[in-house]
Amino acid sequence: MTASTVNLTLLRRSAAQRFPGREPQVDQLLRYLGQPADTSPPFLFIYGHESTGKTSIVRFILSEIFDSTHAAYISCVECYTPRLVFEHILKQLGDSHPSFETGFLSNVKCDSMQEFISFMRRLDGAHQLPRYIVFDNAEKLRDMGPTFLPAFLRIAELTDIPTTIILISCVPWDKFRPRNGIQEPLLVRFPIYGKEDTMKILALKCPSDEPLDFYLSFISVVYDVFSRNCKDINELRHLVALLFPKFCEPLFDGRAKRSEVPKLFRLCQTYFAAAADKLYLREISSAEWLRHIRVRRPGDDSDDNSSDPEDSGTSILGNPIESDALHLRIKTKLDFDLPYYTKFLLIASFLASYNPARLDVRFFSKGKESTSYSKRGKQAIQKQMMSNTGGKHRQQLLGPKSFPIERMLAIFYSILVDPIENSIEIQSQIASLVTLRLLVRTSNASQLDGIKCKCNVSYELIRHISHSVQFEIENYLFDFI
Amino acid sequence: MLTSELIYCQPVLNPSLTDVTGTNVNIISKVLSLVEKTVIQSESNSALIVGQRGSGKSAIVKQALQMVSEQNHPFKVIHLNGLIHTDDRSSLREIALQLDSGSSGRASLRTFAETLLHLLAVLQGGDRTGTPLIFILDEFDLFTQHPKQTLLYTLFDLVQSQPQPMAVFGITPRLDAVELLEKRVKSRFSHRQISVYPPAQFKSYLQVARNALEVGIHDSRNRKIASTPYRTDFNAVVSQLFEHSDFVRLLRRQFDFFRDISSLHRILIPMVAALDADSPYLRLDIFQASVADQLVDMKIETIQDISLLELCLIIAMKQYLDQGIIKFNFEMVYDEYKTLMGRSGSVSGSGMKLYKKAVALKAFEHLLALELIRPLESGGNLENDPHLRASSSIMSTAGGGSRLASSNILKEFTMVQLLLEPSHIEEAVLKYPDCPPLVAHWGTNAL
Repeated sequence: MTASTVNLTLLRRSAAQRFPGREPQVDQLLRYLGQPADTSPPFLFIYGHESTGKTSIVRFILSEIFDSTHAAYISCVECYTPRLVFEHILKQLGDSHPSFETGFLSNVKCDSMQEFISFMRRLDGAHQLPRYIVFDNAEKLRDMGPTFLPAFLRIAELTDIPTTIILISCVPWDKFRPRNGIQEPLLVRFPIYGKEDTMKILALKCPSDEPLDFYLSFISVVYDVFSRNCKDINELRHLVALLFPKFCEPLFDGRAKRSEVPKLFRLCQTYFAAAADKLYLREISSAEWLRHIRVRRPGDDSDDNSSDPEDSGTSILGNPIESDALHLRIKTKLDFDLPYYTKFLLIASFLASYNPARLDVRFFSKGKESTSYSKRGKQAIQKQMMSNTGGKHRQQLLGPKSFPIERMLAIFYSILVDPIENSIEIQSQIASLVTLRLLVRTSNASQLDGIKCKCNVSYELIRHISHSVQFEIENYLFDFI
Repeated sequence: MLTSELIYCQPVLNPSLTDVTGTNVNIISKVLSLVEKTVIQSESNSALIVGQRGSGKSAIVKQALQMVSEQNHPFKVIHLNGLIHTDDRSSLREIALQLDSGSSGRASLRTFAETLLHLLAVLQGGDRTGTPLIFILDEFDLFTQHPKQTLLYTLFDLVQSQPQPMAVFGITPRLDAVELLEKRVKSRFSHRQISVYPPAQFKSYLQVARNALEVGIHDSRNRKIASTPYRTDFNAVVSQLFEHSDFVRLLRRQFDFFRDISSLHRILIPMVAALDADSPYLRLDIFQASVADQLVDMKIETIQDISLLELCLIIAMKQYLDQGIIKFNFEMVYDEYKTLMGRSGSVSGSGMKLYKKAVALKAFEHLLALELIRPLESGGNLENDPHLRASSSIMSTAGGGSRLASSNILKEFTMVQLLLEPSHIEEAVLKYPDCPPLVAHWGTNAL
């Protein structure tokens, strides 16, 4: 027991400063881990949602208490095969660093659990002090074979050196239990942060040139608006980074003063709404967003601000807000172009995928355009279908079904405004749609006759495409809401 | 001073020191006599030790081996573990390594055949006067999965036919482990089974708990420790604990659910871990809190922390479950969510917002990542599901390509299954912090 002791009270205090709101968890962990020489429970399972401080707190505590040769930290995303896991653990516990002399190659080659255990036994354990192995994203361990995790949990028994395994995961322990039983862990739960702690954490990032009270009142509103649906601190941080410059903008134009917080919110409300629609999507990174704002700021005071701010709030389209980064990315997503006839091919395959084949005559036959008849017929069929399916199993919800190419081509020719000849180009366009993965072939690749396909495109995209060729796809779809 | 005292209070923290008091002394003597027969009387044996996890099988074997080794007869133990030696090749290598631990020259044997030949030569060359060998096969059931069970066959065959004294002990939690053996292997096995049970009487269970907590008079290396006033006080506090009705009630509860000793240790650890210079004695309140902590339903805990939108999606899935539909995709769930939001009428008034599809899809994917819902392997087996048969007439054309479809389908249409019971959801909704009454109403009522 030669290891030095650590002042736990001091450590507790510094942890409390760095991680507000996590005192109970830090306390619990410190109790379990204790001094370097103390025996620890063999198996801890730390769970909680994303961004609740699991990884950073565990790493902080381990790095403060133990030498690097007694605690190994493995991210299972990074080490995705057993071999990588073994070698990383041995590297960390064996304190070996890649160097020029060894050609930056790892000096341990370890492929199997058996070798790993013999390596572990041979490592100079510095007087057999307990060892700690942390697995982050531990849910990935289950992909490494059925014996991997159970064997690791017995590592202390197998190597005769006290070893604590710490798993960190967002997935509850129930999902880890293998069929033939396993040692049960001690659980440490990291709940999500409450409002007070969230504010404290967000306030750590207060810009240096802003008064803290002002920033806090802003954060508090962001929290109130978004917290119900967004509990992820990182996402809230992202939102704060997105919205704070917008919030402050009126200050610089002289439309409001720092004391008029409610007015500032009124001016900022549209951005809040837009951000809520884009929650979690991250169509744009906060860095991009900042860059965008910086580019805009010098130029925009001439034209944009002349318009009434109230006005920009009421209509979202066609106003300054449209050019905002929040809206930037959605455009580019739909912004891909196809040749004219290819678009129609795609539309036709969408229709074939979602409409029942027996209604094709009603929708696409050209001869009898007696509207009253077809309307009545449609309604009757719709009624009949609705009573059949109850509406919850309509094709729109179930997804595309596959169709024979011939049917799609028939629809294609009927929806074209100007008829064209069947040619090799059409066939090659179908093939290119398949390579673009807009169509998915469901029949066998070796089968050349009676090819079947599926349309792999969302409704939003197909609507966009059909509008671009002035085709009202809504009129041709059955059972769509 | 204090820490050096506390080290002795560590049977709880150290699984290898598992206490065998609770188990029947009979079992140890049975194992012991088997080992003794091999070691002292040069008689070959094989046996299977069966018992549920945490019932102390390994501890019993360990104890027996230790007792034999104190009698000063030479013997050699070879430990194999089914979790690690997952095929015959690695098992043989391990055996060769453990046999050759003195002269490492032989360990460089490369091929399977060479190792096997060498090993057989070594084992068959011995006679009754050779050093007795004890094989311990932990996780015995996993060895039966090796192709052709060559290892087991060879071992049992050697036990039966060779003069070299050998004993093979299999340790397994599977009661039907013998049935897993192939016929030719089975016929060579002695069919001796030793069953190990966790403490059957609450009294012995309490005794195990007390042994784990009390500071004994011997340390882990069996040296006597001088008595100190602190130890006396400490043990007095432990005795008080065992007289406290709450403490005994909680242990009783644990005993009624799990009898194994490792789970007992698991709930005692937090109390022991909380000892420090400021509170040097065990405390009941910490024990109560830790029992509550360790026996939570993690799924419900997980739902407590999800966002309101995710909760709404789960409730939408519950609506499907109530209708008897057990498979659904994102589009269906979103549609139901929209219906729910629409039905509430005052969407803006209640402070709830109908989220865009893309945002909801992210929430849906988060639920997938938390494994509250699970994707079904292929989207094509709809036809087999009675609830969806109504629509399968439309789907019938898709039947041929069902296998391909799973990887090709848009993620919105991938069918998923909810891994929660409706009653679970109701409980979680009621516990959800700061839940709008509207959502609580959806969650608990079938509307």
